[in-house]
Amino acid sequence: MTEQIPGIYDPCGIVEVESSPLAHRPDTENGLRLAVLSNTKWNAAKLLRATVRALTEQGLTFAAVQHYDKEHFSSPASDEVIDRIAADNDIAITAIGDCGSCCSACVNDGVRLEQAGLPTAVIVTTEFEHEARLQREARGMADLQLVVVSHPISSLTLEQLDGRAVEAASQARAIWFATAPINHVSQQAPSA
Amino acid sequence: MTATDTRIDHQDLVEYYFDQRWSDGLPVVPPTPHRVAAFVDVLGGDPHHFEARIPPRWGSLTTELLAVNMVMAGCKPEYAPVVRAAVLALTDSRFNLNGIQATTHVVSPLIVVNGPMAREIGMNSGGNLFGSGNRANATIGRAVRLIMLSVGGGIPGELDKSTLGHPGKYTFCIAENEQESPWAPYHVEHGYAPEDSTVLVIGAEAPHSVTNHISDDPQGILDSIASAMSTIAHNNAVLGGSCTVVLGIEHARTIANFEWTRDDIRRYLWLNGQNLWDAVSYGNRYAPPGGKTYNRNLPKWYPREDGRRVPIVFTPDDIHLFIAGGTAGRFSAFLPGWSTATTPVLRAIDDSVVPAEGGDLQCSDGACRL
Repeated sequence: MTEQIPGIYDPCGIVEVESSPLAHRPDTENGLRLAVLSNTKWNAAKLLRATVRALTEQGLTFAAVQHYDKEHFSSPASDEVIDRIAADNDIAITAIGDCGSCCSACVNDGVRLEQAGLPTAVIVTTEFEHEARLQREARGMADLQLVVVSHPISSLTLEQLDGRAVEAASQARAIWFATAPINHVSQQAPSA
Repeated sequence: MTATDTRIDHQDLVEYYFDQRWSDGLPVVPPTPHRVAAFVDVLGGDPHHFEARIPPRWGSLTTELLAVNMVMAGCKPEYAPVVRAAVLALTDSRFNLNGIQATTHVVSPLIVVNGPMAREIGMNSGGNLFGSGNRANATIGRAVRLIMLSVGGGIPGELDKSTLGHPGKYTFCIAENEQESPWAPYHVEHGYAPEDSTVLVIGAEAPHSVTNHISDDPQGILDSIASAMSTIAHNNAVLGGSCTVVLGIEHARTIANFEWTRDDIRRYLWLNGQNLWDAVSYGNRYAPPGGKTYNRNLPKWYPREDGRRVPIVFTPDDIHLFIAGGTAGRFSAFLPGWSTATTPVLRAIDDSVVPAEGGDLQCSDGACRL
């Protein structure tokens, strides 16, 4: 090991990861097949359904909307689920990264879906945005954009979730269709 | 610090390692070429040998880095095979170290050593088992944590999002008290020979003490342990998974006098470590009006009805039982686990050792192998 400073040993070592590019973005916004991957955390499915509603209210139309569940929110989705989603869909959205392990797993799922060719919107909360950014870099996809909504999600009412869904919908569109970045909620924003 | 500085005195080095965030909050031993080489020798001699990638940062752990972190922790070179075996067990995909590192839960990997190696390196399996004072216990656990911090990137607030943490995140390493236990040790129960040495890694909360100085029979003692299990406060109650029971020596001797086996103990605890579904479902308070809370993290065969009881883990084999601690004091301990997203991993310290297949077992708890 080369010691950059004499007498100092860096105990961290290097991260040997190959960078992968994002998936190619679609040429059209409408008529796509949307995969909705819920990690089964409390309110994840409700948030995702509300986001899909918000997207259609904003004028987006889908050829199909297909729902999938992960086996466990603290683990990455199985290869089988990723392969099935990639085979049958054009774009994807997944939630919710509102805890440490589920945020890490959601980001990992997003990276794998992008690698499989699907532009993917990964929804995390403000408290986990920093972790999500570190995690995407560790997986070699620093360009993976995130949907960030105000924390918390698990304790919200349906009405409050609708508000988060509006935040998520506009960010998801920007991620799928690579339009100009939308300013998302920062950690300083008050929660509803 | 400029490139022309050729010597940094020891105290400055200690401060420097603090400043780089290469510490767990306590001073580390600054590595030197001589100290690192001693560990690399024990580990096979090749500093560039790839050991494992440590999530969630996925840093590449080489033999040299393993040595560096062990020096920093204050280990002796003879502990190296144990630390390496623990790291390889942690990075088994079934353990899901990524989730354990990142979670908001308090969980930390508990390392349990079995077999002659524990005695050879002077580990403590007796009094003050989970406490401080033993170099092997303290520094083996610490080396593993430093690797998780540095190579694995599990820095609090960054990739480690634990809301509260627990003291086991400084060090969390014990040995089973095989000499005082009335039964076969854990690793023999799981298919190894008594002369094999193993490490188990299991996600665990801090120990919850169980006092019982009155009961003189198995049921009374185990009912007290079961009462520590019968709460909705821990993750197992709402997420399942695995948990740890450390049976104290006095308790163990009483139970063994009634000819109960390890198997009997785990099955009794599974049957009696339960919660009412009303509690697990929070009384349906958060379900849609008129609806019921299902909780898909628990198996479909759990009775989801008011008044029915459900176990805290799905099978008796999810209760990992160790006999340990001092010979005086009628205490045991219960350590809840994390969830079904992690599986405990048992591994021989010597890579060439494999556990026996079930075929030649005449007993369910390994006693016939002794």
